[in-house]
Amino acid sequence: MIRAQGLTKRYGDFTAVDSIDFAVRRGESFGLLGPNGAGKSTTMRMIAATTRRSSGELEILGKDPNRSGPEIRAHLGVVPQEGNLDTELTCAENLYIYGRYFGLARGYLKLKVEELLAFAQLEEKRDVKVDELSGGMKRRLTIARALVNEPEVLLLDEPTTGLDPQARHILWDRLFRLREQGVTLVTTTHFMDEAEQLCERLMVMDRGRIMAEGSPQQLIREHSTREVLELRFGSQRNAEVAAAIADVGSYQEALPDRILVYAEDGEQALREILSRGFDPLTSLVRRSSLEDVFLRLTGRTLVDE
Amino acid sequence: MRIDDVAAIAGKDLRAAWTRKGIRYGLGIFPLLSAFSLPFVVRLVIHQRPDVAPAVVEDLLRSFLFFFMIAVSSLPTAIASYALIGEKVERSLEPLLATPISVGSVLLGKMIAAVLPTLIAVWVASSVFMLLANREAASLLHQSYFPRAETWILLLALMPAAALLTVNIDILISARVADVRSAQQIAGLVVLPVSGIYVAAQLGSVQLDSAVLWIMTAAVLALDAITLWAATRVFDREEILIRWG
Ligand SMILES: Nc1ncnc2c1ncn2[C@@H]1O[C@H](COP(=O)(O)OP(=O)(O)O)[C@@H](O)[C@H]1O
Ligand SMILES: [Mg+2]
Repeated sequence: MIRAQGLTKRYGDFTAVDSIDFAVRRGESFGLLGPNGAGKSTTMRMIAATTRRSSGELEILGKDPNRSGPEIRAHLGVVPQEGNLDTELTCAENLYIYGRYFGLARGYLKLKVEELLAFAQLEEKRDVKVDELSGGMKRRLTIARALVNEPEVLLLDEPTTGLDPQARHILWDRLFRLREQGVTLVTTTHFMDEAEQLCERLMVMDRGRIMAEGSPQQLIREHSTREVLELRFGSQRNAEVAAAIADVGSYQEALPDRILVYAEDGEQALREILSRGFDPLTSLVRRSSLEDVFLRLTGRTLVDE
Repeated sequence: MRIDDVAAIAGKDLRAAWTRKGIRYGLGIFPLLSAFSLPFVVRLVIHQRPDVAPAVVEDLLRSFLFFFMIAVSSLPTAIASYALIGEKVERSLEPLLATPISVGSVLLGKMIAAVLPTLIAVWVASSVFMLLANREAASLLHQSYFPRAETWILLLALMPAAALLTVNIDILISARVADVRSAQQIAGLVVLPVSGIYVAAQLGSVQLDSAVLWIMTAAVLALDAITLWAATRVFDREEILIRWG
């Protein structure tokens, strides 16, 4: 469906996307996970055939976006990072007008708009101006809008950023349905839980480069241990303690507010530390997550805390 | 560029513009107020100085009709500033760029959405003005003054050319400015030369006859060509995504 080789985007001297390679298969749910500024949106825009690449190869649906932009765009659905609906217009008008931009017939659109409103669970808001919708509703409407041309690939740039947990779950549920219908999904996110929920295969990005690629389970297996022990000793003592327990578990990360001890068996690591006479203010054993993978690969956390 | 695409864009912008009270009133009030008040001035002049020379009244009528040029060079900005800067602020151009529509169609659609309502409003208002002015001046001139050859040049050549120039300038401004209000203020400056000509005509230093109107039209068309070329350059897919953000 999508194939990139040495894909690069420069803004002046600054390289936002630095020679990345990846491929997305038909029907797959593919994810780009990375912190703000990683180059996710820039990559998405190149895939969406809205921004030109600076160098490298890119093939979308078997075509080169530099030469076949309109043909490619006709078969893509794009949900940009910013909710950018036409706020003066109603939900139904937004969908209808967007469909007209794809050259779709009026008769077809009349039915399609109702179908999409139902999909987005916005039937009651049909004739309400977008201004008056909640964040989650706007997001669902944006996704519905991207589906108006029955795209083969749906590109979602940070679909749930800024939404409350309940709204996120409703949205994820809608995206699961699309997957079941065989739509290829490409999602960017800086939330590891979202990446785990939505993506079968992930590309971890940082500073325009790919740090790792694989399924969430694979990434965790390859780049982290099974369990993580989180310890807090208070901000003054963390560094000192970290040095003293450097041999416990496979490796440690000392963050400003806590120490993470990576081990196959977290409880055992905790017993070891306690037996050395350290008494943490709090301790917690949990399974490794993509957050740990990212921390391991870059030495930084995904979300600025 | 496809006619359907252009129509879709223009239709959407027109619909969005129509939901704004400020734009509805602007399009209605200013032209219509002029259409009714200017003939009233003609009546006062004739009433107070029954011995006024017919030529003076003819000059007055002629420059009054030119007054509508001020509306032509300011009203498109009201719509264009929302259709361009408003969308820039809300970033609603981005999803548009993700459709197969060509940027040329987007540009043309937005231009039509700003120019068409302006011209219709001004044409209606100047027709009303001409009808009323004819009636007011009939006692003195003994015949209908409007329409004349210059009228058609003004309404069908100079006004569309001037409206287009305003929109082109709006597009150029919108690439640089980030809020609707300051864009409207800068674009408001376009009215100055037009008002200058109007005042000069009123004072008798410019004769707005056919020749002068043709020269003005030619000058405005030349400016149209230059600004249109510049507008297509700033209104390019990549340019909008990268620099308008
Ligand atoms: N139009 C632009 N001009 C210059 N730099 C840009 C532009 N767009 C993005 N960047 C830079 O490129 C980097 C990647 O941005 P982006 O792709 O938006 O990252 P992400 O979506 O992962 O947060 C950032 O450092 C950003 O500042
Ligand atoms: Mg982004």
